[in-house]
Amino acid sequence: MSHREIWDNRTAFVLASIGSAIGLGNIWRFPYVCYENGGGAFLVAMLVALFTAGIPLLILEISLGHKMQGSAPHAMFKIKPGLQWFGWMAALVGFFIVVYYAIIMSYAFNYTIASFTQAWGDNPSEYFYATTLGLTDNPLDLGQFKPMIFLGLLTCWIWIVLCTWKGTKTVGKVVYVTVILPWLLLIIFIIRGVTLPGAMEGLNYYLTPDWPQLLKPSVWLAAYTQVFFSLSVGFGIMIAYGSFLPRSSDLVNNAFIIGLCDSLTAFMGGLAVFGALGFHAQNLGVPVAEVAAAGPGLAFVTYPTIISNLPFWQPLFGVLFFVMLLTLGIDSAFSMTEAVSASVKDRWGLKHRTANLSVGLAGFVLGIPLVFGAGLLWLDIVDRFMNQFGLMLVCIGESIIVGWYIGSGRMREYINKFSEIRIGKWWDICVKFILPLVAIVLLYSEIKDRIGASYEGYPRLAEFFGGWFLVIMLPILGIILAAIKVKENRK
Amino acid sequence: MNTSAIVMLIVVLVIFLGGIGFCISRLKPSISETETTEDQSPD
Repeated sequence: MSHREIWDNRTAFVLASIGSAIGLGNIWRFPYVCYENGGGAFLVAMLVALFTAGIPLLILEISLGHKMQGSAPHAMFKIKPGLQWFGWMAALVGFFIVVYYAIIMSYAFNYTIASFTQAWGDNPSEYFYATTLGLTDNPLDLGQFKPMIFLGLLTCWIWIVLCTWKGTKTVGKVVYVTVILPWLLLIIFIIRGVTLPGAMEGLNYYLTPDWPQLLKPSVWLAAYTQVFFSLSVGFGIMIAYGSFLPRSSDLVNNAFIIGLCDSLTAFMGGLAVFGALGFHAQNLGVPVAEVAAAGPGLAFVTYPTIISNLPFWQPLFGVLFFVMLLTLGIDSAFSMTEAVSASVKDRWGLKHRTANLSVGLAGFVLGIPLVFGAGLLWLDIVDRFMNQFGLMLVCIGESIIVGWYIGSGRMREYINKFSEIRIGKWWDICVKFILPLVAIVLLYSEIKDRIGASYEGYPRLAEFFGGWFLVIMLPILGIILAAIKVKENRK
Repeated sequence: MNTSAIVMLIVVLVIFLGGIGFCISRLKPSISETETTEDQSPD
């Protein structure tokens, strides 16, 4: 008789899932994508994408884990033993992502310390790219080993492993801090951001709707991409988290709360970011469009510049900002780790700590090459390919398996048995048609772009090893992991 | 801040907060603190 671990209570599950979905992308990706794709008008596209793809996929994954009582590989095995490799593929996408995600957390860790003295001085760009990273021009030129990034990586992995030390028991407690604290910090940064001189101009850039943009297919694709990236779907996380729910738990209402809270956080993140960017633009005497940034450039170059120019308490705001990034990132990181640990545990019957330590050690070791000067470039390539290919392939597979193989109607009946909000046939349409169609279009568009030119002009060899090779290895590794024999008494 | 940006801000906040509020209003205590998976029969 199996004793599957379960969440202590509903709040723990909901907070853990929200924490997994809310990540660095809510602060450094969403606001820029929104501004670039029509400002307020993009929010309409995003809401449509959220209700037709994001939340239906969340419902699908949580209920799949709940029904099959297992992590992604185990759940797929229960559907059809021959599909187990696909479950591993989903878990591996999350695993490859957490390998580089921990590196970004290491940057944030280093910057938390640097904030006390504002070590970036008058030139945050040089401090980040040259001093901190020792960035090379070419991914094939590995560059120098950076001991502080290594130390940060080690610290972050220890933190990740400790957060998942006793599985749901530890996660369920840790998330009260790692979800609520960044929310509180975000509120502080919104207040700070919107009360700065020039902030309103920044908010105008962020929120003013450019309605004709909605006629462009690229805006809709950006909205669906944003929703897919943001909700932590396609990595097997929600399947694993759903499997830790007791049988009597609600499924649909939880999914709606998770999806809405994640999107609300991203929207609020935009207020903090664009308020500060408006202030930055005013200081430089340039339009906001010239200072709008995304990704590591926003977090580690633009924001430190803004912090240095704040009228008071610069070190405090610096530390709080990077603590916010760390706490936003940690629950996404440990949820991806937990999804792999749960898969290993389910498959080979290992003890939780053994599975957890093995996955943590593997993630740490694989991250070491990214500690060198070319790390950020490799990280960028892996990020692009895992999200644009790995995640999309998993989403297509999941919607076909649940929508067509199991049958969305049958799955919907199961879901409605447990849910406070009943879902109708709209969910079937989303799962059977909209989800796979959108993911296929996104996949096709990315393949076309990558055949036309390498990503960001990186050498094709680097693009192959950091991108195509890893994508090809996903199903191959999945098949290998599924083929490894399980001891009879652990089947 | 211009009027259309303010309208957008209010509308989006109402949709998100209203949606979350609606979901919370439908909550029922469904996860028991003491429940285990031992007695869960497979579907």
